[in-house]
Amino acid sequence: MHHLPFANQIAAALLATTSLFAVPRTGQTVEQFDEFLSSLRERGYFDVAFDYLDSLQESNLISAEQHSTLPYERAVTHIEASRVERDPVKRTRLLDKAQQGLQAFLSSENDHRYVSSARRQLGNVLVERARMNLAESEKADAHEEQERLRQTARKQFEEAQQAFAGLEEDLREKLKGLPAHINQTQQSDLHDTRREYRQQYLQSLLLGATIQYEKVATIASDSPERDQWLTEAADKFDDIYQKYRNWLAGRYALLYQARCFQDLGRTQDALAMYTELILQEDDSPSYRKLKTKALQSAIECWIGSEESKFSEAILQGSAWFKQMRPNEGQTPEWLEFRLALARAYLAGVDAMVAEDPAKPQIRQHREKARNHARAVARQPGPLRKQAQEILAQFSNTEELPVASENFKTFAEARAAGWEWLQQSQNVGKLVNLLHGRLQHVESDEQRAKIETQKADAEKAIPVHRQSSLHAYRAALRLADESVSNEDLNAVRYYLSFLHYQVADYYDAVVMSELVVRYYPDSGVARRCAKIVLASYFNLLQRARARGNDNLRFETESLQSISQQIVKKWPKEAEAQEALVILINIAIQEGQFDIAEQSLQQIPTDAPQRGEAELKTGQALWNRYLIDSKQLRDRVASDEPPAPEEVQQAENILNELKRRAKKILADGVERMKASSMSATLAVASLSLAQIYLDTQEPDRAIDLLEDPEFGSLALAEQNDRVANRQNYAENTYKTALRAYISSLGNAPQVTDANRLLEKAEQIMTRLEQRVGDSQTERQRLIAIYVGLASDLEQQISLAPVQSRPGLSRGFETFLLRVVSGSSDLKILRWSAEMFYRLGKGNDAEYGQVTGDASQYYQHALTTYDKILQLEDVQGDANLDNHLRIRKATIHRRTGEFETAMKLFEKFLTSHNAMITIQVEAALTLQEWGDAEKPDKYALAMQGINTSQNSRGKTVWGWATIARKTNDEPKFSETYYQARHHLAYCRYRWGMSQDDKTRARTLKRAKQDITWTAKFHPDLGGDNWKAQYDALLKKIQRALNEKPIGLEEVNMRTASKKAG
Amino acid sequence: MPQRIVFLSAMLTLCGPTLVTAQGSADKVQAVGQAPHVGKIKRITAEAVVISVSGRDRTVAVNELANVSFANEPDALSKARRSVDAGRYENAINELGSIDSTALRDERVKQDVLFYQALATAHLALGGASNLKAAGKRMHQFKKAAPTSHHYFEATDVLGRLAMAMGQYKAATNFFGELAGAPWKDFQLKANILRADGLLQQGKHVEALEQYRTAMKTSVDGPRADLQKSLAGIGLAVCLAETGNVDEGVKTLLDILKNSDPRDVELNAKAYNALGKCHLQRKNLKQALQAFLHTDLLYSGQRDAHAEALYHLTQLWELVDRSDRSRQARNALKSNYASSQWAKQL
Repeated sequence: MHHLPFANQIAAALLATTSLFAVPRTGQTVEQFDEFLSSLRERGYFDVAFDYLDSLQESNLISAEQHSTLPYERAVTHIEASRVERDPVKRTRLLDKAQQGLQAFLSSENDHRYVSSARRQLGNVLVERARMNLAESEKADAHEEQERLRQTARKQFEEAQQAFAGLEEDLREKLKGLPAHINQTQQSDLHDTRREYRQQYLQSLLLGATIQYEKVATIASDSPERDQWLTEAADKFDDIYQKYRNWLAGRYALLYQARCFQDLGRTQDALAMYTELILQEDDSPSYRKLKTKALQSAIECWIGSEESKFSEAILQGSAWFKQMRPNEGQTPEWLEFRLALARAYLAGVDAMVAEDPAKPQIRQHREKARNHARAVARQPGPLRKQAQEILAQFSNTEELPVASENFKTFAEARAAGWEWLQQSQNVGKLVNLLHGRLQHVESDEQRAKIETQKADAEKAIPVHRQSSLHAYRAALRLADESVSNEDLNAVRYYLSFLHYQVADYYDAVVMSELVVRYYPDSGVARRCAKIVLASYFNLLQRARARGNDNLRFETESLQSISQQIVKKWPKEAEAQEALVILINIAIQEGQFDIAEQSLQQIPTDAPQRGEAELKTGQALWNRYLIDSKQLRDRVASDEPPAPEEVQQAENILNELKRRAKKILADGVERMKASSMSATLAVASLSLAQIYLDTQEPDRAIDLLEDPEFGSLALAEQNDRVANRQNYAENTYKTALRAYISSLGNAPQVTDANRLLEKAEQIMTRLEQRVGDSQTERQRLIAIYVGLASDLEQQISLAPVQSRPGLSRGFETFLLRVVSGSSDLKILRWSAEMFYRLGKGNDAEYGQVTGDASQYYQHALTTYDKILQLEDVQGDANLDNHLRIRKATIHRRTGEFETAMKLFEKFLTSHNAMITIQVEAALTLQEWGDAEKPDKYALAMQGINTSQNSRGKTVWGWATIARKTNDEPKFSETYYQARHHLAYCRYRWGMSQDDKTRARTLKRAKQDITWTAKFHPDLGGDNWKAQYDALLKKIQRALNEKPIGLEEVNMRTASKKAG
Repeated sequence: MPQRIVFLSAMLTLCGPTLVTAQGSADKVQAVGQAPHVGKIKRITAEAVVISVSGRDRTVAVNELANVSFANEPDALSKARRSVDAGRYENAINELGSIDSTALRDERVKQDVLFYQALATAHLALGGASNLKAAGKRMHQFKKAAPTSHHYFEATDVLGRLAMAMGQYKAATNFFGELAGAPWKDFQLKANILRADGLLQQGKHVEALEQYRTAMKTSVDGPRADLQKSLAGIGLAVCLAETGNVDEGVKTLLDILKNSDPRDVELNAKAYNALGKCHLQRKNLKQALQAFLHTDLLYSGQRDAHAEALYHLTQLWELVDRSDRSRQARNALKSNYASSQWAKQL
């Protein structure tokens, strides 16, 4: 087996320039620059290492020569940082920086003692890049890609090998050029230089051998070259060891040689070498590191050997573990060693179980394995995962909860509580890890194994939590006066955390609230506050879900703790979260002023501000919608409020709308930078609706169409936050309204066309979204009807110049409705709307043209569609009614003949229907107006279409007047008929020759004067004015003084006088 | 190679609780920086050790002593001495525990075993790894049993430190007063500085500052005195910082660090901790971190200083939003120095 991580360690150790030599460098200053920097790097504190290097720029704690190495050390730090960076992009960036730094160093410091080191590090950059490719090859799915990456890595390793070989040669020459004997005291500089060259030479040798070792990973494990390359690497290490056996570097070479043998399967040879290293008496920190590595590898050999010498591994490993120093516990080599030791104990457990499952040592070994694995799992890094896998083997319920009576002291119980808590967290992570693995299993067997592991781990979590709870509770019981409040509070915090995790919110609150209220300065108070807040919130949600009406306890508790948090930590994130909760409660309680006040307390740059604005604004808008509806209902009721009251209510509503708009607009603007959330989606849509409501459709469109967070984009991308059907539907409805509404503002026809095109697209999407079932289609039509009704209202309120555009939008809607519906009511409504549109755009005199004509035509088509409906065909009355409406439209569009045919047909069977008789007479009259004066006669006298009948089919104005005279309910019709009779006679007379004309005009005049004589009020002011105007026309035509009805008055007066 | 391994493996098995005595060796007395005198120890007092070398007496004053070993002492005792010198107190206790004291015939060796057991225990207690009171009791027993031992003044010194760690300043002052009664100026200087340390620990910064200043002006020379003066300088710097002169405190500490020997681990650990505290006063978190990390990474063998550094690091990491590192520091402090004043303050 080839151990790449081990190879990484080799290189890391080689980078620690001083650690390879037994003799420490002498320095004039105390600042242990190299050691400190190396230690920082080893711990992975690269950020601190960079800060430290920065701080040394101005420091006089280091020598001038050390100053000159700072750029070099910075580059080395970049290389080391790259080793632990998992993100390939960042890793590449770090290596690029290292490369640039080293190249800059080499070009500016060509005489520096570190020149060779810098060249070596450049080689290391190549090695790191090769390692990256190797790591990527393991992740790649396709075999070809894997092979390509491996080949690239191999090539980079070989280039690095060449670089190191060149460097080695160069250094050898340099060393040869130095005098054979150098006096350390008298020639200290030369002595240091030689020392440096020797060090670098040795490092180059070691690196060359190491790369040879690492290169093995770029070929297949069954490749014939593998053993050859490993043997070559082993030979190289042996050569170094033979020459430098008294140097630390030489001993490292022996370690690596052993590793090669281990990989070659020559376990006994490897073990012999590890043992030699283990038995050395050297107790210096650098040698202890090497010894730890040797022991770790030896343990692997012992437990991996055929006869599994686990007892030897445990004996040696545990003895070394006892000698671990406090500062060593977290170092990579010790963690790796402890992991190996944990495996040794497990191997022991397996062997003993096979022999005698009742052996008492089994439990001890398991406990020790777990302790070591737990210690490793606590540290971040690549070993954690392996440690967690070991821990997973303990995650079954055979491990009983820790009994509280086992503890004797507070500290003991608290430590156990912490351990169990960590264990539960670790197993939780393991569950996630196993879950991830299940997605990529290759065989059923593997799947079953992982599923079992996962199930075991899941079972273990509550056990560990329970154990932790027991231990922490025991700690509280065992606490005496010597235990500080801070320690007690920490225990309270963990207890409440555990309660919270298992959803025991009341218990969680008890512990945490105590800390928050009585120890607000405690280090854990803020964390406790968070738990209290979250617990109360969950309690509230739970109570709501259960349908509890009385939520006073939960809401008041939440308010109280939130206020305390805001007061205590006004600038902390917890306070912002508390304010959000206060806002939510205030909104639920309808206390919008309090919600707004709390909102203002959240700093504008706090992450919670935007979300809170959206929620508050949304709440205000919802309130506006509800109150508006209530007001409308009241106004429409039998007992409407007084106008002043309505006005007052509208003022309040407008203010509410203004606030909602302002807050939502601020919130949406603020949240643009953040990722999309459900709240933002809803708020953005609401704001668009407000813009529509405030006659700002263009702003609504801008908002809806925003590519990042616009509702349309969300609805169209089927975004998860917009997944609820209502959201998409509401978006499309709002968008439709917006497009149609903005038609009135479109400056150019092309703009209007563009908007209409968009509206069409939205309708298509809306239809796709709604679906095809009958119910769904009905819902769609209902949407259109609703929109059209809104729009009709808008058209009526719009300025004249805006109406054509709006009407075209309305037409678009109606056409959709007609084409998609077979509902009688809807189609009738649509036809009526077309008719009204036609009328709205009709000058009502002269020939109908342009839009009005088109609208009338749509109305006719719609009526035809209605007449085809089954429902209609069985309903003669309705059929008739519709035909009459058609006839009316035909009349207005100048199709008089068609209209009259329809009227006549109807009147044949419904002769006494006065309203239709009026329509028919009116049609004949208008036909006469349209250059067919002979039709005036028909309008006056009517038409008899059946020769057998004595009565007229179409009565004409004269008969209508006669039949409606003295009928109060038809008085309006009577005055109309008498007026139109006079009009038709006047018009007909005007078309005749002089003689007939004069006679006819006089008759026309008589029609009016007689009417006036018997009905002096002439049906009211309206008709009176019309009679007056018509009489004046007749008087003029008769060359009389146009005095209108005055003539009638004069005649009456004269008669009375006479 | 295999032969060599077999031999070495055999060596590994020689790790049992047997009494192995040094073969054919003599008593040894070594002064600081000198070759050891090898011969027969004739007399030991609290002030000097006299050894006969080839019939001629050599006297080494206790303040100059580097090492004393006995011809018939067990190997474990010499190993324990080395462990104590290297700060590996647990190892020392283990070594000493392996000695069968009933088999010891030489009273001086018995006393030495007792002393090193008490000393290692005291150091562990001072570093927070064991009970202070028990350690004090043990050292007190030794002092009572061996009033003429060459370890007498060192025992007094340790008892004073243990008392100070327990907050028993009056008792500590008495012990340091006794230490000041030693016939050597560097011991007197050390006693005065320890008394000043007590004042500093009690928060009496102005008084402590004066005592440190006086100590630094003492006309005693030599490497040991220089070391003591540097320690006084650290105390002085802390007092300066505590009384508002942080810049001066930092400057004093940097001067000490610049001129001290890297091998003076106690001095350097204390100096870096003091530097960290000065930076903390100024809220220079990065510099404070670097200072305490020096102690954590380079001088972890100085248990008390290491515990203090870990305590500050626990809080500093939190302040720079590195909770993971804070947790690590806290764990290290709690697991290694559970009984220390620093762990208790968490």
